Amino acid sequence: MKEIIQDILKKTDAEYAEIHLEDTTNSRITYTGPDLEDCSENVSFGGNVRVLHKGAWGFTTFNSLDEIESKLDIAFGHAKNVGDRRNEPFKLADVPVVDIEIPLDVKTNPGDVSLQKKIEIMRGYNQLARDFDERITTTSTRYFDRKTKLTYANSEGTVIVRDAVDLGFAISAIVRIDAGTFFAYTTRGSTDDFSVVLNLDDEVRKIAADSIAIADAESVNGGQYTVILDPMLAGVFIHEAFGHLSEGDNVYEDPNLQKVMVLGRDFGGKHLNVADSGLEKGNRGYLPYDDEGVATEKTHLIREGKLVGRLHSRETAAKMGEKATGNARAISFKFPPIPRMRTTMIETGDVPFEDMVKNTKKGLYCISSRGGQTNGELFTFTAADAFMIRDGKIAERVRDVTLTGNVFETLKNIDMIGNDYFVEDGPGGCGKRGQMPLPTSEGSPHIRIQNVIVGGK
Amino acid sequence: MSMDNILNKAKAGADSAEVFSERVKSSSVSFENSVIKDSNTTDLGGTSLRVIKNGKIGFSSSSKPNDDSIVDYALDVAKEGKEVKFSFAESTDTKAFDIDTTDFDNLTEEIIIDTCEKVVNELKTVHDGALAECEIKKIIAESRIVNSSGLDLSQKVKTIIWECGLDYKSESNFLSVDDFRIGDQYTGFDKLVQKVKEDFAICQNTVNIEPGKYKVMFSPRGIMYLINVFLSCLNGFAVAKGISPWSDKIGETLFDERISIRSNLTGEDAPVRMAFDSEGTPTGVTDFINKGVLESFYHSLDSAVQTNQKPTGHGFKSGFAALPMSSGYGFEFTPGETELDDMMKEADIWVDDIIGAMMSNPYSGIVSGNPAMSFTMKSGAKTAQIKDAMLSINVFDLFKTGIVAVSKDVQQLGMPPFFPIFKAPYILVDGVSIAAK
Repeated sequence: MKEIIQDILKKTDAEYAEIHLEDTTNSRITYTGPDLEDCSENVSFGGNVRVLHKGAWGFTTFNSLDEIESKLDIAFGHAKNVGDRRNEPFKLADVPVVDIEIPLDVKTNPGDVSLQKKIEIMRGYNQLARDFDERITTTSTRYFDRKTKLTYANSEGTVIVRDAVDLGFAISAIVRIDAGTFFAYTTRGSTDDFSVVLNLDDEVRKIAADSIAIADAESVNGGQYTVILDPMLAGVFIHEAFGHLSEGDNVYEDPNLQKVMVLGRDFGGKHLNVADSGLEKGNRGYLPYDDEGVATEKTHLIREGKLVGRLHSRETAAKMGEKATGNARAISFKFPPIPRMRTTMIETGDVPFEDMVKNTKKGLYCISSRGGQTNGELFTFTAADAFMIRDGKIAERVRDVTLTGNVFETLKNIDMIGNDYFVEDGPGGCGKRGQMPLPTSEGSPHIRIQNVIVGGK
Repeated sequence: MSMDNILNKAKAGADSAEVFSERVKSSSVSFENSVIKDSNTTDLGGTSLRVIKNGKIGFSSSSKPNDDSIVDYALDVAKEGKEVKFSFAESTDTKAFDIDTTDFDNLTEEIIIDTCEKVVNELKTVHDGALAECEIKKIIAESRIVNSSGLDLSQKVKTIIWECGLDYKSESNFLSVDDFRIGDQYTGFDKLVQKVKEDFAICQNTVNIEPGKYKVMFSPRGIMYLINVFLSCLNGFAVAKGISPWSDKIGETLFDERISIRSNLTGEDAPVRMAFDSEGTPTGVTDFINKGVLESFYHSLDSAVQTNQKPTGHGFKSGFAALPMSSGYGFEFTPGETELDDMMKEADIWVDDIIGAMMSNPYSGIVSGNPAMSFTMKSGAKTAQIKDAMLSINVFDLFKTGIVAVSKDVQQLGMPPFFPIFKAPYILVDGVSIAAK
């Protein structure tokens, strides 16, 4: 196959061209309440062609190998239509040409586990949550895995053939009361180990108990709070608040933003270190090579409070005179790669969690996340669970906690970083420019932030 | 292997079968730093199969052309599948709408690029250093469904999305103003460009407001962030599973009598026109909330049988590889009787955009987020952009007791797949909580 693609690429007159092929088989299992709503096996096969001409990209997709040559012509036509107007010189960051095959390297391959066994495991968790308490109205349990053969080649001679697996799991216990419907959940995800979804009975019981307690809790009063974020929520915070802002396309396309995101600028205290890494094996953000054939790395974004790097594709790196970091990613062959995160993390500090709580007179302890969103300057995220902190102690549970703030002020308002660390993985992912969900991971210790605005009654 | 051959092979191993195929073609261009940057076309499709054997359902899909392996996959998973009580749709005389694609076809790559360049050049004149952007995306989806009951339906749906905006980032403010339209008819940029220019000018002034309760005007775009509450709670699947808090409230007055919501998939001016859903069930007009009273839910074949209701033609697939699920297509709020200008005079705040609203739990009725594109109002005019605030609205409560007025004007919007195309008026609500510094 790779020889066929290489031959086709040799025929193009384009300055630069690349071809992706993707052959994926996925399994899905979804229980809602007692019912196995979805149990399916699905095949996704296709590819894309991307061509660069005079500073402009042309992109097209295909489902059949017979179409590659004609699609290359179409993509070149698109690039010429735009490029002849744009008329910019060729600019992609230099990267080594590689020719590599990466076989599957996993601890436990989900492909070795029968569909029947997976159903049995999911049914067990689902039943455990349903049986926990009569107040549990229903449950939602979903699992997927997929095995993919990715083939990438470009006109510079790089060819990468990689086998990969990915899996995700989530279970929610749902309680309906007069005030509405509330839930608690837990997730798992991995790119190398099916066993992450095993032996979760205690966790399932915990989320079942939490769902009842959340439904019984009062809504939080809106206002400005000192907040302690647990590692999962802190990970989502740094992903939303700073990760997206560090994506090279957002910066290089905008001369005004370049004036704000100047390397060396202070964004936080000396205790703040933020990085994005493709090297964390097993995480869903693990990525040996990105979708432009660039080897990934651990890229520091903030070191001791100062901006030191950003996340680049080859194009954004070249245009900003920086190094390609292996962050060009697409959710599938249906989309062109753009700068995206991998495992984004706040590095460990030195404050024990107990000290954070003890030193907080009135605040909120926010646990896990139902997701977040940013527009660059502002961020918002919603805690899955939360407790008031009163006089240095964790007090009553509250619900409906959504936090917002200005990215730059909030990073400077992080006054404590914990000495612990946890990476969250689940079945969801990140969204950008219509591409969702992209598998990413988020890691952090507990952190404390001053003056966060919280919505509420 | 053709769809018919897949159906025949599946019928040989199952009690009943349904084959669905879809081909989606789209094209778009985008800008970088106010200069045209790329041009994309995608052409993707595939086939999926549902089988019912011994009362259990199996599903499989493939994007490989003529891939009959889906038959074996589907029959295999049916052994473990869910027990179902519904049957695949019966053959019907329903005909797909004739879709005139002339305007769609006329939007050639050259015309799209020329149009976008003109819009960008006009917007660039507003502010020195601001980045202008413009995008036109056109999508055409062609589907066919055949099943063992003799059903054989084909349908074509076209969608055009056009949007433009201005960005200006500085140390103190990341200003981003945009607007968009979506529908099956392209009606041009004139109004959009004008609105973006006006909002951008107002956003030169920013203001921090006091925390408190406010009279808030939700524009149709602002309503988009609240509509998830209705989409979720009216979903027949959520009702069947006991998730919807409205499951046992048919006939109850849940909202102000000025709130009426229906689905319209067949009217001349429907938000989106589809004669049947992805299961082959004919669509139509369905009232969900009539003058504040809950009347019905929207259903797929499966959710209908689980709740002893009739399917409403809302069993849609989010792509050929997805199972059909009850989906809130064609939502329309009934327009009110108040002039927009009169409502604006009463409003304290105007909300177009709420960051993070989609993370709210729709079944609690509470929508919280940062009203990133919102304005203070004075004497019926927008005066300044609101900064550093958090809006929280309990839709269950305030759409019952806090409605001040509903506009005569309606607008069609949507952001598929997150928000199916819908029509909504402007709605003025009193008592919306805003937290701020």
